[in-house]
Amino acid sequence: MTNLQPASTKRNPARTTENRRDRAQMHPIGEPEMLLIFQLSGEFFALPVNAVFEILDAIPATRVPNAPDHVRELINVRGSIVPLLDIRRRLQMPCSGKTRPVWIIVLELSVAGQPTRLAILVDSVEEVIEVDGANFEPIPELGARWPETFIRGVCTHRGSLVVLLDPETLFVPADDDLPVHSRA
Amino acid sequence: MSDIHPAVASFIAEARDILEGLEDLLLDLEVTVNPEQIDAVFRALHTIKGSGAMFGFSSLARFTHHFEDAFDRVREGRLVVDSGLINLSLQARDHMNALLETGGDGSEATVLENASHAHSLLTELAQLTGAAPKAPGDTAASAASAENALPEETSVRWEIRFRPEPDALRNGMRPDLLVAELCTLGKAEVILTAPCMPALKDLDPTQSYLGWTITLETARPRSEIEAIFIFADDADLGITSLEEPSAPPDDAADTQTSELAAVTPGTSAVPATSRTPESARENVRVPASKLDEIIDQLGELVIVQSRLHQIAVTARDPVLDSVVEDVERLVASLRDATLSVRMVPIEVVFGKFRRVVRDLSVELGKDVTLVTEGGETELDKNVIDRLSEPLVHMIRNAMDHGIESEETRRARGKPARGTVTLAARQEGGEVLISISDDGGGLDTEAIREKAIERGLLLPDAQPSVAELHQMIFAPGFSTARALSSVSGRGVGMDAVRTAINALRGGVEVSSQQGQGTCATLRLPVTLAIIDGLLVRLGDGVFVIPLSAVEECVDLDEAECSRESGRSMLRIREHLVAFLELNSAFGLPSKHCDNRRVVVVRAEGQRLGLVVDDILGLNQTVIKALSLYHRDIAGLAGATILGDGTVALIIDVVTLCRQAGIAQHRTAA
Repeated sequence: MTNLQPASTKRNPARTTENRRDRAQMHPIGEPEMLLIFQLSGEFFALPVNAVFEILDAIPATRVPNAPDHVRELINVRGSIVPLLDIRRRLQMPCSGKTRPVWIIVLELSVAGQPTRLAILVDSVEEVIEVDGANFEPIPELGARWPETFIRGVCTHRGSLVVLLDPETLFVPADDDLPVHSRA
Repeated sequence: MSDIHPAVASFIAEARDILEGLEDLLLDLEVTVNPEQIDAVFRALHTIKGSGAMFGFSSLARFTHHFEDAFDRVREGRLVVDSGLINLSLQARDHMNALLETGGDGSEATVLENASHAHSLLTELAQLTGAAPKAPGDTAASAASAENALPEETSVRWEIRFRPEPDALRNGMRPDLLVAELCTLGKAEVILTAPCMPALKDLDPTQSYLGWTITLETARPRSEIEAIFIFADDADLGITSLEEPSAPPDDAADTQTSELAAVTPGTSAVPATSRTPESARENVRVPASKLDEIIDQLGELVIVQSRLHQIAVTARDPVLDSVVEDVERLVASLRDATLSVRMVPIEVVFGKFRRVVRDLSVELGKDVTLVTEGGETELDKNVIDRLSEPLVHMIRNAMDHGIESEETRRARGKPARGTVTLAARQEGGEVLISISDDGGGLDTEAIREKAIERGLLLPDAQPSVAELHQMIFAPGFSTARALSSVSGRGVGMDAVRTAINALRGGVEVSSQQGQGTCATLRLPVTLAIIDGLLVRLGDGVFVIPLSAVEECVDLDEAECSRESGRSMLRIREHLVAFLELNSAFGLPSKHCDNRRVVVVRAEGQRLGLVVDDILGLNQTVIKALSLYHRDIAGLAGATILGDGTVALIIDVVTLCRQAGIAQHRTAA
């Protein structure tokens, strides 16, 4: 928690879709990038900081019936209704269900071409770091615990492995996410 | 176009309105002609010409000048309004619109100005006004010469005394431009007078104290001088011919000025302002996005207010209580007032269709009139904006496939001229819009064949006529070319239904073969807010749109089990299909005694929704669901409750539709 206060860290929304898409497609080369590091189930993950809208303490959420497994809830973020994602289900990590993550990172990014505000649950928010794209390596093919498509690369920071997630793919609703239509 | 000056933007917006109104006026002329209408057309053109030149739309102003000339002749009775003039005027209007949309003088406007159709329009206008047709390429020069080069021999000298009312500047009058325009009419001598200039300390810079006396030598008629001052109705204006002996002598003018001088500016301003309140001046132009923002903020205010209410309840402070009550009342009236701001009469869309029908009549070679009813019915601006495309579609269909050719109509004993009726009316929380024609109606046999071919219908199925009619909305059905040639409504009815459903509305069609077809759209009055019935399911709170609710009854377990197996519920004399919302939504079913049934109706279906409890009514601001949730059957949106939590809104239409399908399956 070095750089970020939990209250509201509003960020300048002047980010272009093109810009982000370029970065997503670009593999680990080039310009330095600001990343927000957070912890989830004991692992360190990172997302580009320019996608972060604000960070919230846990707030009551509303369950959506028949929703995809990883987007089962909605929260009220200052009057706008935002889907709350549990990315552990996307990353095929165990969800014990006993301890629920207590922090919420609200993101603003383009999902499937549409500007979307969404939130993810995390155990703790660590810090913002600036890294050179060159420091990232592709994840090793063998022993990768996470679905490759959601990962842009890994790097080490302060002796721990940090997994850089790819917001371009992670939040796109997959076909199998869609609920069963017309149950009649 | 991004860094457009606000004044220019507001000119464009205003000019768009004027051009829209102009289209209506011109179409009105086709029906009846009276001097007021001609004046209105002339005024519209004059305004665009004047302000266009001021805001850097000189190509528009130049073109409009010629157009205006034609209507000046009509005003003077030298030109008769006929269909040729109206056709030409409509085309000229479209050209003005195109010039306006170029965003001002620039390469785009120049290209458009020199386009061949622009020249042919100018030539036609010139023929009407009797002026010599202009050579292509020098429209600018010819416009200027038309204004300046005047025959000298019949010149008359006029004295024009002009003194704007004290408030004129505040109301946007530009006396300098008027005087400048006057000078273009001929040889002018301008004398500035300041008969009632106050002392410097009393001078109000927003008031007008000046007057002008202009001696003008011109061949133009008096009416042309008057036309310049057409908007200066409140000004003190005297136009006298110096050639005629009856011209008032100088001392008459003097007495008038001295009279005026005797009145101090402060008091003279009073009657002027009392005359000002014209409806146009009281309107404020606001971008719709700003209104949306206000609605959003209002939603949040409502939430904060209910939190405040809860605090007051626990605090038990009578002083606080009364303040909270006041806030509550104010918020409620603020909400109503804000929502009413977004309501727009549906006339604004209906107006557009007159032109569509007129142009299509020509294109299709069918004589069709459009009848509109209930144009005063109000709808949310956001609904109206998204309505014109589906409506155009349906009108096209009605005219193309519905209305028969003239010979067929005669053979069937119908009037040769077809009629398309567009009617709107409000019914509860819904607005019904119907598009009906007196054409051939839907060909059920053709639809049946097509449906079987498309695999939408089993060959041995016996659907009712009404069911067959609804099939035109099936996706993919539209592309059937064979259908449109037979008689049915072909193109894109599923697109229409999708658009209407997105507005939380529905569409139905009914048809009498040989008599005509009527499609009815049902739309919510507003998208932003609904009256909702709060219900509890397990631990969650859900909202059922009140407009769909027919009644609420206690769930009699015994009654329900007796009818079990048929999942029907006996309510008084009727059997009603019902749905356990808990199980439909995969929620744990908690057994409690006071379960209720909310009977809803949609698309002609009644359905009982079993809920754990009914909590009460509220007005809710509807928010759309994200792309993760928007396809979940049975959910129409979400809203934020008084305590800040999110509640889901139940989509009654889908649930009823599903129940209908389920019933058909069990019946089969």
